[in-house]
Amino acid sequence: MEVAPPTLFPKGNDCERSDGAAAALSAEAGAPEDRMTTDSQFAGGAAQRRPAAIFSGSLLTVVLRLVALAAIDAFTIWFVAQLATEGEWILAILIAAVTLLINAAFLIDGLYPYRWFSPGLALLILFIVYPTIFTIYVAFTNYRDGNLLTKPQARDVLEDQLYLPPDAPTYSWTAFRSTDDPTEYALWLIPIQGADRPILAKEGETIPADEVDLGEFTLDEDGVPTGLPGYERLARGQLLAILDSVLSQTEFGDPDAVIKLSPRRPLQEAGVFRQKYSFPDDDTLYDNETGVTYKPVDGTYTPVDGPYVNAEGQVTDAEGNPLPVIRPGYYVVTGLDNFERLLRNDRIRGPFVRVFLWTIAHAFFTVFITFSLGLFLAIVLNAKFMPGRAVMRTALLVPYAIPAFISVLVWKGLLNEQLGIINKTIHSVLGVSGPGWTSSAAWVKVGILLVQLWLGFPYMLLICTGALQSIPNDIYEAARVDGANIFQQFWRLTLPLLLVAVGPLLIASFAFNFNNFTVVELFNKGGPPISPDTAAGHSDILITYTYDLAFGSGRGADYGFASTITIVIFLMVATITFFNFRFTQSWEEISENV
Amino acid sequence: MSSVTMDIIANKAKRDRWLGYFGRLLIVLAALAFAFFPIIWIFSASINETGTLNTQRLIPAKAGFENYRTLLTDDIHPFARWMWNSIKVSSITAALTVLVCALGAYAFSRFRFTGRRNLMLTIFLVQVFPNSLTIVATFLLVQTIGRHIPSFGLNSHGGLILVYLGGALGINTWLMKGFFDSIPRELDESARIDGASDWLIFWRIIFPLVRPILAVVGILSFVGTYGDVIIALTLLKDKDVQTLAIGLNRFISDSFNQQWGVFSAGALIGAIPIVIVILTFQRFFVSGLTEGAVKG
Repeated sequence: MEVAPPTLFPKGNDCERSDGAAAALSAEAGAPEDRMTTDSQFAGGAAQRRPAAIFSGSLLTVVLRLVALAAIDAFTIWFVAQLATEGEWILAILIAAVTLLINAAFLIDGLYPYRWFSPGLALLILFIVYPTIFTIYVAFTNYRDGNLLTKPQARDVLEDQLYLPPDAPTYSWTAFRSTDDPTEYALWLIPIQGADRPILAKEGETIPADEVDLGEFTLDEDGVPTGLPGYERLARGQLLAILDSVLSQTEFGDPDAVIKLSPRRPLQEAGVFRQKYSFPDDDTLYDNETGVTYKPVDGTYTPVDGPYVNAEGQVTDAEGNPLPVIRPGYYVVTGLDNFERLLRNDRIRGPFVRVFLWTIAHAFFTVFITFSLGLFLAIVLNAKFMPGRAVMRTALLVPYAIPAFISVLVWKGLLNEQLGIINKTIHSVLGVSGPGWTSSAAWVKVGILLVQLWLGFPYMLLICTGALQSIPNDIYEAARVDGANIFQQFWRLTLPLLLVAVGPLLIASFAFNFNNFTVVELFNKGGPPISPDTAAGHSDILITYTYDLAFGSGRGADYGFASTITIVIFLMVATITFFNFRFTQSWEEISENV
Repeated sequence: MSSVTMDIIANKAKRDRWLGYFGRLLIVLAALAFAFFPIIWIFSASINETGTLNTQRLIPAKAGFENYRTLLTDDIHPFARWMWNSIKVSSITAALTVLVCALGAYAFSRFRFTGRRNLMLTIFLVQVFPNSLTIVATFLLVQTIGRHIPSFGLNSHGGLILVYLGGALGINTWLMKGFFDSIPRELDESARIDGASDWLIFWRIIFPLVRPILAVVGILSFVGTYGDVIIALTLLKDKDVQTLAIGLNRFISDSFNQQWGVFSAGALIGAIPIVIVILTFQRFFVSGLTEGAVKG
């Protein structure tokens, strides 16, 4: 319960003063938890006007509300159960907590205002708070290619794998396709070895041949029906097209004794498969085919014992080749491994330091050059005698109005090394080939800053114009009388006064460009590459580097390490924000405005 | 100071002014040239029927609207589809952002309750970290959701919109709350005496009065969503569901040189709605950006 002290609302408009008064009043009235109480008391205290209870409002409203709540609860129970079986614990707990909050908001009187926040808070928790928590968690795991699943998920995948034992019953087969559903197939099986009678194996079901109703069809000389009710028999020519892509992948027959085409001789035989991996206990995996035992090492099943072990103690196959680990593995907490790689591994640290420095330089120079040009133009346009300056200002805003993703791609074309207009002009005027805007480590940075200048100067022009107009003219007159020249006026008066006004916006702009994915990624995808060893490129900033680590093609996903870099970004953003609050005292202002 | 010196100063100022006039004009013209050179250049490319980067001239040898026709009929690059996806996703996101933020802002503005202050400050702090930073975790989250509810998973507009909504709520709730505070409470109170419920007061009395801020938030949200690259790029992989920001990039990666004319046509069409919106509502953007959520 918040007994709002009047000092919380020390300034502001009438409305806030009335808040203060109301809070004070309600405190005296001994029912301070929400202003509504006060209102009701003023209004005569009619009981049904108290907001609250699930049972307020008309019968229809109450029923609708209860039904909606029940639906949300039912959905959550189903969803949380699914997530729990997959091992997505953090998400399951968070969703359950959010649903509890929604229920509480609707069922408990004192939490009435939270009803109004429930959609917003649910979205905020799910899509901002959870990803933040999960990023921090993943940074301490080995969540990357090969270990992309949770433990239950990995186990599920492995348990689904089958093999054909040498002594398994085998059959020769004929395929039928359902006429109702052309993606469904069935096999007619004639025993070759280990089985005594023909069977019909549909997907998910095995039927002894003598119980099958052949309808109008008859058996041919091999004992295979010419057709089946609801199915058409496939000719050999039709089979080949679907043999690898469909038939070999399909599991026929009873789920307990799955029948599949033999991987060795798919056209000739099908057999009864068995589960390849079993789990004698939680942390042991046994390969039924080879007799090898595996134990998880950092979430990867690694061979520890088997029929063949070489002199070094490695588990090998019959020919003496060491056995590989089993994929997929699952991700586990590996502690500070990712951070150690970042700080200790030279192949990673070198490129990372470059990326880090360029991230700062990129943001700093972007702000510096856009602000310089914007301010310069604002001063030029600030002269009262300039005719049409309003039109010119609006015209100069156009680059800012075009979505950045379009501008960057356009500039990418203009700066194309061989064919772009800029390099062609340089070539025809100077007779030398133009700079490597996308291939040279230095020029790509110049190119990005040029694009940033174009994108960003109108915004700076806009804010500087506003700030310039708020500087009183008398101080310039006074300065002129004192003999200050135009440069002295600029450095001693204009700039300091302006910076006070636009400083926070410059810091905000710095923070924004610190993570300006759009410009850097679209301009050159962070390239050119620093070296073949690393995902980092010469123009990469931290956020594009993170993106490459997680989603870049060719190197495999490394979510764990990407999250580690994200934490570095978090720290930087937090520092900038803290600095901004300190610089502007805006935090105090925010706190007061609450 | 003698009147002679005053005259000298005045004359000097006058001279500066006249010298300055042409100088200033030249500078502004140079700035306009810098600002418009890429725009003129792609306009020229878009009506150049030879259509490649290599053959582009400022005044096209053969002008026409062939590139625009190709743009709207090409199956490999379904531009109209991308444009529609962008407008659809941005509109829905903007509308829902306005609705959800208005609910929250109303409660913050009108009710006093336990945890109100902490909740507001928390929401403010949380939005300091935009959700593009946690893109990896967001991707994994949407992937997990999609395993169970495909229409909110990867490659779905449902999932994308939810992520945008989550990211837009903090700052916009603040922005709206300030405006809601400026609506006199006497209005609610008189309605309450007449027996109106909270919902009725919100919907019938407050909502119409706060239309200006709803428009600002809606427009900011629309423009922001339309221009997003990182989230759409991560969540949408199929050509047919992608938004314009991702689709246009395909022209570049596929065959930049050959597609230059068609790309330029697409760039112009894609930019025009946003340029019109921003120039029309310039005032909102300036005040939205400079005052931010803090002043309200």
